[in-house]
Amino acid sequence: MTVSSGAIAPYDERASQRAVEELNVLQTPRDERIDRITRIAQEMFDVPMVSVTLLDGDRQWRKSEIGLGGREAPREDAFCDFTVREGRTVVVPDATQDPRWARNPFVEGDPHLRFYAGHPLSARGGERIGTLCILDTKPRHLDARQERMLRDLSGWVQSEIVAERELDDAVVVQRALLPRSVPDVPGYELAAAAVAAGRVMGDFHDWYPASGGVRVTVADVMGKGLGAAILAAGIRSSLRALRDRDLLSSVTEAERQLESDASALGTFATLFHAELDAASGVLSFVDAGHSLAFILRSDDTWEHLRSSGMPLGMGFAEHRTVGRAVLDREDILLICSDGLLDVLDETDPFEHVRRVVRHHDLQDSVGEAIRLSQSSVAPDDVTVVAIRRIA
Amino acid sequence: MKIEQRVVEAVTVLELSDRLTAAVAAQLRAAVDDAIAAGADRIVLDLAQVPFIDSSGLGAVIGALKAARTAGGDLRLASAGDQVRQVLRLTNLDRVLRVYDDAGAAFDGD
Repeated sequence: MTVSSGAIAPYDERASQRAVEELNVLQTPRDERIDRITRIAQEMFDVPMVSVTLLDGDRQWRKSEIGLGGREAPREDAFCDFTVREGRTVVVPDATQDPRWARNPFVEGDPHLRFYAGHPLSARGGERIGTLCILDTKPRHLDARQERMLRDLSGWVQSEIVAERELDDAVVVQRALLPRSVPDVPGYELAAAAVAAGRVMGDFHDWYPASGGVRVTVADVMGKGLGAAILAAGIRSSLRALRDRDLLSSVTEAERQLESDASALGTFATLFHAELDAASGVLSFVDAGHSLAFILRSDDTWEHLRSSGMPLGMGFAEHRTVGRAVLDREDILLICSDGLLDVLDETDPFEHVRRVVRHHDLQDSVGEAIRLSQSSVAPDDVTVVAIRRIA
Repeated sequence: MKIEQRVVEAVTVLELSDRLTAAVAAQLRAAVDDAIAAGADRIVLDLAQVPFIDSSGLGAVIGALKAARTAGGDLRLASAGDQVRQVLRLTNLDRVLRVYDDAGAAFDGD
């Protein structure tokens, strides 16, 4: 057995147990991003067995495994338990020839291990939570280069597991930033839904009561994923903080706040920001390059709410204007992000939407948009907001 | 993405040939920055071979436009297909990014 040298923190079982629980990874389904690494390890080392093992109480739980025939095994006497306690790469070239391991139940009994090499996986705080290990029923030797590869692969597994947790946190936060309730606007029905192409999205929508009605926002930040989501959260906060300003100055000021960040990042956002006066049905809107707001009239004709405004964050000293439209009884205002276009019937997207809203209530209609996105590997985030005037 | 560069009568034409998405945005920006650093002030992106642009691709084009203008020059588009034109129209960016029928016409008369 060889053990590499270096100062290693003593193993803290309680802290490690807490860390593995906090990762929310135990009992989760197999994950292609990690299975991919175990497959690579198998190819690279040409071994019959590979495992990403996490230690949980008195058991080993395998997030990914090849050739071990199960996701759970006892922790007692396990090679991986030893590796985690040691806190370094452990290589056992031939367990039957190694006094520490020769009588081990995994060596004497099933699966009759001869060769083991494992490297610890750590949580964010450095707690040692498990291993990436390769195993064989034949004796083997790992040279220094192969040991290095095993450590690199372990680092990769570790970052996937930890990144997944960070993304989980982001998903929860982003969900919390979407409206949780529907504002009560007498005479109107409101519905909205959103789905991310990945885990988090660059789209956002928002609505909140305004004097005499409601303010509604749909925005789409360039790109997808976490970077776009952070900027989207910033725009949302700016607009919310500016809710007492008139529509135009709230957008202008939010844009000013976004501008320096966006131009440094080379990014931009499209925005539709509107205020509906409930009594009159007058909809005032500022459209910043979004161009995806429509009114489906009660007679089945469509009106596209257009403006000439460019997206936010372009830095072209944009002079913005407010557009107006009127919602009459049984008219429906639909605002979406461009991701919706990817899942609609290409030949006639308007007819597709019309058919859906004429055969479903408003909530089910936006639900249908989500269902379409989820069943079609949507390449982009999808957001839909719908407002129907009912009285 | 393949980016072919040619210079025709003091106009630098960058011929792009792939989908213009996040995957190639940095490459496009680098190509334009290199051209500007080499003294180009009239730049045309020839999009005849670009079947699709997404928001990240659009971001790269806008970034390139700003870089060209900051350097005292300009950047124009040529031979864009339907999808690219539609995206420019929807975002109203056709106000700052004119699309010309071909690269040769982009700086005609300027």
